Formats: sequence, structure tokens, C-alpha cells
Amino acid sequence: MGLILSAAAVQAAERFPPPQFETDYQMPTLTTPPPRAAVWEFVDVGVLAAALGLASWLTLRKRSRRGIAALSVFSLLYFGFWRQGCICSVGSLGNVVLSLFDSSYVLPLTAAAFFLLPIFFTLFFGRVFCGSVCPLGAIQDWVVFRPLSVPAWLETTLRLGAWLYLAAAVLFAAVGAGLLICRYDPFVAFFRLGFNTPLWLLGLLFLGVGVFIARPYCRFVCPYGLLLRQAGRLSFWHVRITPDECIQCRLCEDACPFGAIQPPTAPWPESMRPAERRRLVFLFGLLLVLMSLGGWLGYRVHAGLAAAHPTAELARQVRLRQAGLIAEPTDALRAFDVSGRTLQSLWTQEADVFRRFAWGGLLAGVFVGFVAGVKLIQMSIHFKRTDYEADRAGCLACGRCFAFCPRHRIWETGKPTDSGETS
Amino acid sequence: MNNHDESKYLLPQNPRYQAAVSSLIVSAVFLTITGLLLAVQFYHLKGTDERRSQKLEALRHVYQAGGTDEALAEEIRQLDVRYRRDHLARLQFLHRGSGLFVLFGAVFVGTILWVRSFHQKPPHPEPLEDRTAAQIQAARRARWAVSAGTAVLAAAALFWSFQGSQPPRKSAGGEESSESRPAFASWEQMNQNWPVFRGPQGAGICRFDNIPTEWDGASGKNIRWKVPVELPGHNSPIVWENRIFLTGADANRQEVYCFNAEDGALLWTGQVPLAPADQREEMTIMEDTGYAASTAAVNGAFVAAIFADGQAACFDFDGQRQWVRSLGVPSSAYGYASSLTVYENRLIIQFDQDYEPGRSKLIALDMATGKTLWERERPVPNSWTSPTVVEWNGQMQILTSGSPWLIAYDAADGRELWRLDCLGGDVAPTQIAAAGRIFAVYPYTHLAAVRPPQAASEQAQPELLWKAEGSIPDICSPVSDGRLVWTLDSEGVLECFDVQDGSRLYSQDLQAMFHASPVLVGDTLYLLSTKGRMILVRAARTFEQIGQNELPESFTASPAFAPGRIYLRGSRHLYCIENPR
Repeated sequence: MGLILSAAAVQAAERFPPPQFETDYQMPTLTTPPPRAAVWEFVDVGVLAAALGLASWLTLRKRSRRGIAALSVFSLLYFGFWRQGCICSVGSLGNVVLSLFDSSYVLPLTAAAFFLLPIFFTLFFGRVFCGSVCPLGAIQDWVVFRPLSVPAWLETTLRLGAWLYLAAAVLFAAVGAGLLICRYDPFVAFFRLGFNTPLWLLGLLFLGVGVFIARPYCRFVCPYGLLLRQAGRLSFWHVRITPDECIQCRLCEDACPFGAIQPPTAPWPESMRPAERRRLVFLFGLLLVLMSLGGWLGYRVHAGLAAAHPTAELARQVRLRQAGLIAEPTDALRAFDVSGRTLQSLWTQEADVFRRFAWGGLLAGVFVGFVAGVKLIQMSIHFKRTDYEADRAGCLACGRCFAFCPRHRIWETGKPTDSGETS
Repeated sequence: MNNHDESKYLLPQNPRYQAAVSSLIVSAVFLTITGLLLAVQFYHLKGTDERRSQKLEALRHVYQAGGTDEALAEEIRQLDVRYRRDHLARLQFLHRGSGLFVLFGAVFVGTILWVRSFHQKPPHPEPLEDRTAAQIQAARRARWAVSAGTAVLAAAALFWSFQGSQPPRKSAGGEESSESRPAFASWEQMNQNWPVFRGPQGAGICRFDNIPTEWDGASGKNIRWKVPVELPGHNSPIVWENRIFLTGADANRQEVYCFNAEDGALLWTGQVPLAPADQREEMTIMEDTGYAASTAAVNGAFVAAIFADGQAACFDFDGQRQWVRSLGVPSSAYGYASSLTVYENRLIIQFDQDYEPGRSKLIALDMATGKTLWERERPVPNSWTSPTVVEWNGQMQILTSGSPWLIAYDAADGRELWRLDCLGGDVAPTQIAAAGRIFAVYPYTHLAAVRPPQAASEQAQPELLWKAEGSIPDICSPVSDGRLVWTLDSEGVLECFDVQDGSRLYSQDLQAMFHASPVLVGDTLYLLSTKGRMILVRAARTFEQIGQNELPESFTASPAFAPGRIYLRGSRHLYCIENPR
């Protein structure tokens, strides 16, 4: 992965030099394409809102897997290939964080809308955005050919990586080191038809894995998905496997490729209660330990993280040049040379970058420790369920489970149920 | 046989199924071909274009060097146009090919879904298991898995924190590093580490607590770790916080090693290029000296090393080589062996050579850049002693020994401060400073006690206080506690002198050979023989051996110390000795 990403960075710096004419030929002035008309930004927001509304209707009222699948194709074409993956809600997280910490950055309304609308809809209707509106999810959804069941313990553990990525993405955006989520979007190279970037390989890797492990990016990487998971827990309405009542037929048990169907729970043995209580007390204590440990580790790695900041990298290059280890100045060095900035100002900025990373690393570490601790506590609390239910947090609202439910079949055809009701 | 199984056997005859499978195969073939073509073009874009650019650049250089060769200019123009056209064509191919790839990919996915629609299986739940037990087990597994995942993340972060970049370092005054004042450690920090040969100021005095007094190589007692060192070298380890540095070399390679002090893990190996072969042919290297006799030096930000062929190099703590300087192969009777020392950002090299004075120098290089800060000619022939930096009357001085002069230089600018004719022969033991005196060794002849000038004026002269004769060493450097001074010769005769008048208090044959210089730890002398026996002797006016410890290896390098630890470099291994916690 590191190799791919570093190769991508090298690729980004590649330039084909301009011709060297010896005649009186006048080089044309470089021009940049004009910005996109503002009206199209409103169109994008409108399309997003409409897609979210339609997704909610298709998922909760119409209960149509076909409709959801068709909408995901539209989203893939519009937000993916037409809008070339930008702007997207997943990446807007970085813009929002940057606007909170950098007073000179004005958050575009489009970015704000793309960030807030899916959360808003999730709070009311569950993760309908993930199911059929997100282009990153849609492209993975179409390659789920032979999904394997990921054990719950492995799923939960792997998701720790996503929390780590979220912490890193927020940290990098907060200190102005770049928008990690956008930079390493694995599918944007597809959307832009840019084969000449190694990110293609990353995208192919995710799609290849996605044949067997459904939507790996959404489940184990996507930082925005984590926010929607939490919003999904609070959702007012959400996907239900059955349109009316669960008859405990168990036919939906293996229907979800994301492992988001939760079976009914059995009564918890009373004899275990005292041990459970003691464990909870221990885990609450451990939570503090993990937060402290995370903060300490976050602080310790801050220097390594800070090295990725453009200012720290520039300072490193300047030092290498002073040591005679850079023969040809890089673009960054040339820009620095003509900027008129003094070395002292560069060192000061570099020190500031390291200071911010030190604090940010500490807080990010505390956050990751908190998440790990809360997960352990969460897994020691037992929730009562009497029916097969879609996990509010993990359900991606794809609608695959509908067809597995005999009650849904009856509801769909409009034939009376055993109780004499019709849909 | 149920309906599902029956339909499975009928599938090959189903024309729609046949169409689906055919479409799948065709789309897979197209997808594969498109992917291969894209990969080939991508390879050309990266590889061929780069080679072409280099060729074009080479032609341009030829043109610029040869004046106005119009035919060549025309050839360059045509090549330039052709290469540019090819490049743009490839970019266009990749862009359109990507579109086709995505299109065929979509068709491929569609046909797979189509084929799968013929293989739909109805759900078939497994027999219901004991849910209570399953819940308990699932919760337990999940807790353990998350705990393990958290531990792995924490371990990875910890590992990275040791491997990763360091924040900008601070200078002696504590201010941020700046262009005029590169990073280096303060004098106090230098004294809290073992940054040069024989420790702070090269005095051979360890001021750390809890230094082990007992260990045993055979049983492993108090041996915290032992790791192999790839290339040989007589140089001694130096220590900065949790890093240990030493060097190794043979006729073909010269390397700097950085070990983790906690577990002996080799953190990095820095390569130092050899001097040109024609120069190395003139080198005289005795086996007892080797290619890496000079001990490296560290200033808290960088570590520098020098080898027998005069190649000096500097690395940062992450193993990134900062610079290499070729000082020229020194003409040395036994091979170059002077160790390096540092003062702030200055790397001090005593570069004594030739049988007659004339080419010897004391050189100060900038540790960060390798640039020469100052250079002073020295009126001495080849020597094997090392420079030491000491503070005298508020002034930092560099002390050097060479035949016949003991010379002091201003550490800041290299200005010679004073000199005294008191040495001779092939000088190898390094001078020490103690009790307001400097003790220098004229091998096999005498130990000289010198009082430096008491004032900074040019009229002030050093004073030779006394000369003491006896079994005066030819290799090992002396050590002093301010009241007594000890010498140890190669044949194992330990002698003790009074610093006041040079009177010999005792002479004791230790029945062993010694190349490593003695170190004073508290009131104990640590004497490491060539056969790995560390003899502990009470630092007193009378001889009293208080212990000895064995290691199964030969030792020529002097020991290095850190709080609670001793680091010993043997002929094949690096040892860390530590008392049990």
C-alpha cells in the first residue's frame, strides 16, 4: 500500500517539459479553465437531496431492491463518472474539518451540504446514502459476487482501522497537512478514467477483495461511514427486513453480505451477571488506561506524521540542499527560493507544524483509545432482541434482505397474510 | 432430486443461459485485452519516455558543448517533436482505454450477474444451535479480538515512534535550530551520554550509577543482550540515549551501525563509500589496526565516522547519510586510528600522517553539512592518538598529542593556544585532563604531567610539572580520579602515580594483554583484557583487585557506559551488560 501511495506521489510531480525553441516563437500564456458555474453546484446539491429522498422512499416505503439498485447505477454515473468523484460526501469531511481549524478557509456551501445532507437523512431514515447514493459504495456493490461471511469478532476488529483512519484524516485536515480521504480515494482514478495513476491498482485491489468481502472500503476504511454508523444508531425510521412481523423463519439469516442482520437474543444466564458487572467495572477503568496510552502513543508518533506536512517536507529539502545532497532543486525549493521567505521563517513554521502535530497526535491517540475502550464495553453489554433485525449501525440499506422474507413476498404481491391484512 | 437440482442439469441447454455465459466470456476477453494494452502503454509512458528524455537531454548537452552543429540541432528538433507526439498519443490512449476498460468492466459485471441469476439458491438455514452459548462465545471472541487489535495498533505505533522522524532539534541554548546555528546537543547533554571515544571529554570516567560489577559470558549472567556485528573494527561503541553507534570495515566495505540500546536490534546500517582504488593500494594497514580503528562521534543530532582510507561520513539518527568527505588516504605506518571528537556543530579530525611533519592537520568540519570550518597544520608526523575537548578557564580547548608536541587549540576557531615539547615516538595513548593538569604519554618512556597556561595571554606558557618513568603504555590511555593517575601497558602492567609529584605508588602485573583503555567507575577501575577478562581494581593508592568477569571473545575496543549498563564490543559481538532489575 505504501509503495502504491508513494508511487502516486511521484506520479503527481511528473511534468513533460515545454519545448525549447530557438526562434522568436512566443510561448502562449498558460491559461486555466474557468471555474464551474455556480448553478451547477446547486444542481449537484439538488440531485443529492433528490437522490437521498428517492432512496429513502425506495428503501422504507417501496421496499424495492431493484429501485435501489437502479438508483445506485444513477449515482455511480452522476456523482462518479459525470462529476468525477468530486465533490463527494466522504471527502467533504476533510473540508469541514479544515474550515473549523483554518480561519482562512471558507467552507463552500456545496461541501457543507454534501456533508450534512446524508447525516440528516441517516438520522431519519437510516444509511440510505450508503445504500444507493454514494458512488464509492455503488461501484463496490456491483462486484459483490461471492460474499463470504466475516465473523463478528473480525469485523469489529478490522473496523478499528477505520477509526484510526478517521483520526488521521481529521488530524491532517486540522493541521493543514492535506485532505487524506480525497488524496487516497481508491475509486477516483476510475471515475476520471485516469489509468496513468497507480491509484488504479488500489481501486482494483478493493474491487478484487470486494468480490468476496462485500464493500471492504465502506466497512473497514470509510471515515464518513463511521459517522453515518453513529447517526444510523439514532435513526428514527430504518430498514426493516420484514414489512410487518417477523415469523422467525430464519430465511434471512444469511441474506446480508455485510453481516448486518442480527438474530434474536437468548436470555442471558443469571449466574453470569456478577462476573459481567465486575468486567464492566474493569473495562471502565481500562477505558481511561487506553485513552492515556493512546494519547501517549499519539504524541510519540507525531514527528513521523508531521514529516508528511508540506512545510516539514520543504524544510527537510532545504536541509538536504544545505548538506549538498540535492543536486537539482525540486519544484518546492524553487518556489521557496523565489518567494522571498527567510530560512528563519521556514524553521519557525516547521516548529509550529510539529507543535500542532504534537497536540493533534495526542488528541487523536486519546480518541482512538476511547474508541477501543468503548468497543470493549459495548461488547460486554447485552441487548435484548426478539426478532431478526437489521443492525441500525451496520445496515447499508441495500435492500437485499427484502426478497428473503416470506412476509415481504406476501406484502409485495398484495395477497392477504395469515392474519387477513393486506399491504 | 429437487427442482433446483433439476434446473441445474438443464441449464446448458437453456439458450438464455448459453447467451449469458457467452457474453461473460466475450466481455472477460475484451476486459483482459484492454487491461493488458493499458498496462503496456503505462509501462511505455513511465519507462520509454524517461529514457527518451534522457537521450534528448544528452544530445542537447552535446549540442551545447560543440557549438552550432545545425544538423544535430535539426535532429534534436525532430526527435523532440516525435517524442512529444508519442507521449501525447499515449496519454490519449490511456484516457480512452480507461473509458473502454470501465465500459467492459461494467459489461463484465452485468454478465456475471446475469449468469448468477441462473444459479440462485434458496436460503437454507443451518440447524439452530444453542444461542446462549453462541452469544457468550461470540462476545468473548470479539472482546479478545478487539483487545488484540488494539495491542497490535499500539505496538505498531510504538515501533513507528522509534523508527520515525524526529522533531526539529534544539541547540545548546534551547532555541530552535536556525540557518546560522545547526542542531547539536549542549555540553551538559554530552556529559550525560557517551558521545566519543572514552566518553565525555575522552577522560575514561563513567559518572553513571548502578554499573554492573558481575557478569559471566558462559552462563549469560547479567548479559542483557548480545548481538553480532557484521564487519570487524577496533573502534569502541559510543552511546546517545537509546542508540549505540559503532563502525566496521574490511577491504571492500565500510559501514556505520546503529543499534537499539534496549534490545540490541540493528536499527540501521550506513554505507560509506571507499576511497578510489588507486589510492587504497597505497594504504598500509596492520592487522592490529584494521580498516575501522577510529571511534565515531555523535553530537546529539548527527553521528560521524572516519575510516582508514580517510573517508569521513555523517548520518542523522535515522540513518540518512548527510555527507561524505574524502580527506585522502593518510600515510600512516600502522594504519590510521585516531578517533573523532565533537564540539557543538564541529567534527574534529586529527589527521596526522607521514614519517616527517608537513602534511598533518587538525580539521574541523560542520557536522550538518561536511563543509570545512577551519583547518590547522600540525608540526607532527603520523600519530594514533585522539583529540579531546576540555574546558579550561572557561575556554573550550582541543588537546592533541603527537611527536613531540602536546598542543592545545581553541575549539571555536582552531587557533593554536599553546604547545609543549614533551612527547616522542609512535604516540598512540590519548591525553587526559584531570586535577588542573594534562597527562600525556610518551610510549615506553614517560608519563608527562603538564599544567596549561593559567592565563589566556600569549605570554603565558604551559609548564611541565613532572615526568614519571615505568612501564609506560604504547596503546592504552591513562585515567585519573584527580588524586591518582593510572597507566596500563599492553603487557598488563598497571601502574599508579600520584598526580602531585608523579611518584609511583605501585606497579602490578595483571598477567594479561590489554588494548582497551581503562575506565574509572566510581572508585573502581574497569580493565578489559584482550581475552575478555574484565578486571576490577580498587582506585586506591595500593593495589587491590576486587573482582573479575569473563566473556568468551577477544576484545580490543574500550568499553562504553550508560546508566546501569556497560557496552562491550568484542571481535564478533556487541554486548550489553546490566544488573538484574
